[in-house]
Amino acid sequence: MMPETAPTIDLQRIGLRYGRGPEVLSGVDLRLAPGSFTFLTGASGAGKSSLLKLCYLSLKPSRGLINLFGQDVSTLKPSQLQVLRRRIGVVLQDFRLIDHLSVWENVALPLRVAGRARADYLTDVNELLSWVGLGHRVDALPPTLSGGEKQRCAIARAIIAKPDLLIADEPTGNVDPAIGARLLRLFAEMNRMGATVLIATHDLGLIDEVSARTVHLADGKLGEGLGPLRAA
Amino acid sequence: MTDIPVRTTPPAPQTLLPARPEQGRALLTVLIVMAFLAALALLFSRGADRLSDRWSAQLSQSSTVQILLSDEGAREAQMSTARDILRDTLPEAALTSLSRAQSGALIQPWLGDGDLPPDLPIPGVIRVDSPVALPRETLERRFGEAGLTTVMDDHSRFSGQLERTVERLVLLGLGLLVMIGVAATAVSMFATRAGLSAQRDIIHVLVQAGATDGFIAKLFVGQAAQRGLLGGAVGAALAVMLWAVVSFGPARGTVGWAGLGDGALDAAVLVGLCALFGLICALSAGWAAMRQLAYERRRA
Ligand SMILES: Nc1ncnc2c1ncn2[C@@H]1O[C@H](COP(=O)(O)OP(=O)(O)O)[C@@H](O)[C@H]1O
Ligand SMILES: [Mg+2]
Repeated sequence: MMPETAPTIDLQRIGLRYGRGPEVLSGVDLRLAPGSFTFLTGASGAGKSSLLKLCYLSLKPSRGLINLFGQDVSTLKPSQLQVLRRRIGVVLQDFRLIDHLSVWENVALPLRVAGRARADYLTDVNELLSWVGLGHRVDALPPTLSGGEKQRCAIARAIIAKPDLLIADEPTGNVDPAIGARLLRLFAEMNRMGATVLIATHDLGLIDEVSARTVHLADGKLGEGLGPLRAA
Repeated sequence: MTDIPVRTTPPAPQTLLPARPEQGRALLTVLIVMAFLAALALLFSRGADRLSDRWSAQLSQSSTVQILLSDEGAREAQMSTARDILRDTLPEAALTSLSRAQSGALIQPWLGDGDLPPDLPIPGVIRVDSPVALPRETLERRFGEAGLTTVMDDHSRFSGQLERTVERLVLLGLGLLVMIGVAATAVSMFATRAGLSAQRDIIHVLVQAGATDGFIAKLFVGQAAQRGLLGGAVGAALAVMLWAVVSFGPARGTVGWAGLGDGALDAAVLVGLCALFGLICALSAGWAAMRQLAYERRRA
């Protein structure tokens, strides 16, 4: 067993290119301590989404090492990777809800996939749905939801299994600032309960809401602080 | 955020893969046709088998005994000894001695229908019709012991041919079944791969949520099993309808049809066929899904 103090995410000398294209990331190092809260910033096209994909195991790096929860993911078997993925909650800009499933079923999905008995998580799902303000929409199908409702559904799905790592890619991209702030409070609450949080955003207003570490991507390199974004 | 959902029991689980009625119908049609053909092949080979059994039994219960002597007196003496032996061995059998004219009629096809030459040696003929199979060896032995110059006609060449023909028909039917099984496997694998690529977005969500290959494959297995069982049942039902029309309809009896004589067993065989169809579809779907998921992971 790795000691408790192993970083939740430990990226070492990560390089990434798509096909024969240029390196989107070159020599990126990133360590996130358990229970930390981090913003990832950078101009559009800087590689934020790519970096997050590496962290939530949706992409393999061209070079470098990815350690999650103290485990080198390149050495893990597919079934072990799935166990790791269950510890990660992900919110993407386009939500990725399953259209033919009700809100309730979408949110319960990670528990169902983990093989939990439905009677077991009935209250959990109900409580979380009311907590995110979707208590009245449990049977609705995603295509009938507003943008904000979709987003809250996606977030509820990301946190229902109480993940140790919560990753969000531009979560406030499509919603008005009030909803964005409420969302951030949700993430802060998850963080307060122990989850490591990593949010990619170029929304400075969002960053100002909480005092958290900020890293920025530019020219394939990662640096501490806001970087050129604040200056612009 | 104070609204509490009024839900105390979990909603019935929704299927994680969407029903795709258009694709599903086309696929189901193919499965129904295949099951129909499989069921027909099965019913016909079982029917042919039954028919040949019945014919063989009938053949083994009748025979003719010929006495090949040109001297009329000696022939009649041997005929009466032969009748005694037959009556003794087969008390239940009906014996018919054919007159010279009747015997002549038997060989007419070879000699033309003109008058028989009076000096033509016509064998004495006894027709034997028995309710049980004839003990051919015993009879021949006793005829020999009595010093008779008999020839028992032997249907065995004919019934042997019949049996070989039926054997081949049954083999052909089984071959057809195997081919249809192979086709069902291929169709089910193809449908599963098509389903995996059509549901790519959902699969991505499931994988990200931590679903194993086995979990995802099971979704396709369930879908394929349902489709296979339904297709198998409908196809077999259609085959039974056709079979019943042929067996009990106007054609009944005209060609010595074996029909649904063994209805219960045939029905059991058809139920087995449906189950087998569902099983083949399910297994091949599972296999195709596992392979495809592993393949896509290697490519990523
Ligand atoms: N799937 C992909 N195939 C090829 N190039 C990609 C792909 N995804 C992203 N890119 C490229 O990688 C670079 C970084 O993209 P991305 O990670 O989405 O940046 P960001 O999220 O910061 O806007 C961009 O130049 C983009 O065109
Ligand atoms: Mg992006």
